Amino acid sequence: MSARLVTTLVAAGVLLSVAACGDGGAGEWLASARAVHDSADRALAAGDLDAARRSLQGFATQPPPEGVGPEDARVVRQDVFYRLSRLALREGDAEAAKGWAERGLALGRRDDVFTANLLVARGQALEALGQGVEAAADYHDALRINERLLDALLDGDEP
Amino acid sequence: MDRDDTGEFEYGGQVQPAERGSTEREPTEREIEEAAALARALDRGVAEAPPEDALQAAALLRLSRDGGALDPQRSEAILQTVFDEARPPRAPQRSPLWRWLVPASVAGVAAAGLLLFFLRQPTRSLPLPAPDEALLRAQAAAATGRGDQLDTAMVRYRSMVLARLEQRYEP
Repeated sequence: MSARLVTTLVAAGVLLSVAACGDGGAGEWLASARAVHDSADRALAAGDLDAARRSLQGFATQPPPEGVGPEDARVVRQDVFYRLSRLALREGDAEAAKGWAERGLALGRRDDVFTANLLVARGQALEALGQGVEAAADYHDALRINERLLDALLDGDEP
Repeated sequence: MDRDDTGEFEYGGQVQPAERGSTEREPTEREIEEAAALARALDRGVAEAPPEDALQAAALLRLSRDGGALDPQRSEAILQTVFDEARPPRAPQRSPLWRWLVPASVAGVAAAGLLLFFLRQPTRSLPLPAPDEALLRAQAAAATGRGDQLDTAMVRYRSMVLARLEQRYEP
C-alpha cells in the first residue's frame, strides 16, 4: 500500500470525523443569532431602533458557516432580513424596507412562515412607496402561503 | 604417470606427446573435461570424479614447490565460497506489522467517522416546529392591513425554531 494512499485514507477518515462531530461553528452561529434577536428585542423595548438595526444588520451581512445546512441558514437569515425590513419601515425608510425584504426573498422562497413574512414586509414597503398593485401581489402571495400553513395546522400535518 | 621409451607420458591410460608441435592433435572432449576437473581439484581440493593419477601428479608438483600451503587470500576466498554454498536458504520474510496495522487503523478511523456521520442524520432531519394558530392569524391580519401583532407573535416562534436548530447541530 503506497504512502499516498495511506495519507489519503487518513485524511478521509479525519474529514469524516470532523464532518460528523465538528458542528461547533453552526452551534456558535445559531447562538449568535439568538443573542442578536435578544439584543434587538431589548433595544426595541427601550425605543432604540438604531441599536436594534445595528445588531441585526451585523449578523445579516455575515455568511453562515459551512456546517449549516442551506435551508437552515435560509430560515435564520430570512427572519433577520424580515426584522430589518420592519425596522426600516418603522424608521420611515420604505426604500430600505423594500431592499431588506428583497434580500431575504433572494435566499429562496418556500411555503413557510419566513417567506410569507418577507412578502408581507415587502408589500408594506411597496404600499408605503405608493406601489399598490405590486403590494397587493405580495400580500396575495403571503396569504396563499398562510392559508396552506393554516390548513396543515388544522389537518395536523407537519409544515 | 610414467614416461615410456618413446618419450611420451602415459597419462590416464592415454599416450600424450612429450613435446607439442604442429602435429599435436586436438584434445578430445573427455580430455577437456578431465583437465577442467583437474583444475577444479587443484583449485579447491575437491572435484567431481577428478582423474586420480593426474591429481596425484599435480599434488606432488605443488607439494614440491610450496609444501602444499594455500595462499591466505586464496584460502579466504575458498572459505567464503564454502560459506555461501553452505548457508541455508533464507526463509520467506514475513510482512512487518505496520504494513497491516496502518491500513487497518485507517479503515477503522474511516468506519468510525462514517458511523458517526450517519448516526447524526436523524437528528438533523428533525422538522422545524409548526407555527401556531395565533401566529398565522397575526400574519394574515398583517397581510390584509387589519393588525400589527405579527412581530410580537414571531418572538415565541423564533425562539422555538432556534431551539430546534440548536438541537440539530448540538455536538
